[in-house]
Amino acid sequence: MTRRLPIAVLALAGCVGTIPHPDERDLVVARSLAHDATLDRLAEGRRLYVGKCSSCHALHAPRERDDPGWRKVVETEMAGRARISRDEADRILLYLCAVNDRPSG
Amino acid sequence: MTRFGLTVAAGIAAFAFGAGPVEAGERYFTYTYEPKVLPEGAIEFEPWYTARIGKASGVYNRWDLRMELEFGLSDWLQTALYLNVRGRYADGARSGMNDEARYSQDDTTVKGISSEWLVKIWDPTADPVGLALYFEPGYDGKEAEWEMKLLLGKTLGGLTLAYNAVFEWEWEFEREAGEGLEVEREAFFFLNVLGANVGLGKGWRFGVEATTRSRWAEFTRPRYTAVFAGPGLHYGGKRGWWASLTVLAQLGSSNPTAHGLELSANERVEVRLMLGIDIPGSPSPAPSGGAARPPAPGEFAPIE
Repeated sequence: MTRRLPIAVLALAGCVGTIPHPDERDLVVARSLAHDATLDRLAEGRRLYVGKCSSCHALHAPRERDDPGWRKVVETEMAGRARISRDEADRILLYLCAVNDRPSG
Repeated sequence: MTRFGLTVAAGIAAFAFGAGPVEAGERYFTYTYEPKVLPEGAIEFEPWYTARIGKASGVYNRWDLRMELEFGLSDWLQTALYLNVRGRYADGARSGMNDEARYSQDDTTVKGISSEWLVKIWDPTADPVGLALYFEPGYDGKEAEWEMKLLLGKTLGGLTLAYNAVFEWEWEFEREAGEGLEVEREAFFFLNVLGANVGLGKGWRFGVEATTRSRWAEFTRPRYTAVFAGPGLHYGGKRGWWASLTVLAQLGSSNPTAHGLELSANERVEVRLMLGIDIPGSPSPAPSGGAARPPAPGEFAPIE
């Protein structure tokens, strides 16, 4: 039992509270938003989202907001406070809006 | 309103309400580090005050003041510079109940400078477990210290968990006539540090911290291990500053000197207060009102 506890804790941590890595399903959604979307660009968006935002606060799961909700937060509320450039905001939004339709779990 | 008009309005709003300084990373704990770094370009001033109170008998109060200036270098690296000061007041204090010697002291000493380097590898929210490495060399002319920490952490909603494995190596030097500095004494310490806290709303957080401290003379077995634990309180969420307070009581030791506690190198109670104050005006990598430019053809277009 004692030996299994760390494994159970790690498994729980792995299942809860992670920010998803983009995959082919997300790329299909992303291409409906930006025709030149690539997996690399989505991965860069995730990296920027984690790097720019997690220094100040716990990250919100992408599914917590719809596309207009994320646009409002990133462009009007956080771009200035977190010093996110236009290009970086675009990449972050492309990632968030591509993965926020994923079913939870 | 047209799409262009909305974008311009959003840009104006971003410039008007969001052009303040970068919000710095708040420290929810005072003993436990979380695996996170300050935002790139941000600078924060963090004074630490630690009171260490009580020996086996008599009066003993020691305080440590660390003035820290912290810099966010990138989204995975931060550094900091410390100025360390120590004050001590003792009146007839004894480390152990059987000690004949009582000592009295009243002094304040500058304990040199330290440099901190923190490298974030995994994020505590984005990744299954947050992971960072921490290095801190320090020197004061008579003593040198090398501190390494492995930082683990996880943020689950309002709950924050963190664990640090800490290794410290200390050297004390003596200047021999005509021969320069020689190492007179060296010591190793290993610490486990654990923290958990939860958000209470309106910027307040409550939690607990616990630590075990072991001193090793050689790498064979520890000379002592002392266990501390206690509550902590944090207030933040305001733009520009935060504060954290922890009270730790020594609960026991593997090699007690009095009352079941190790009171030779440690004290009965420690109280640590930390403040974090953002320093505005650090260089910005991008104009804060950048969202005002309408998207060009082929860029990620706004979603209707």
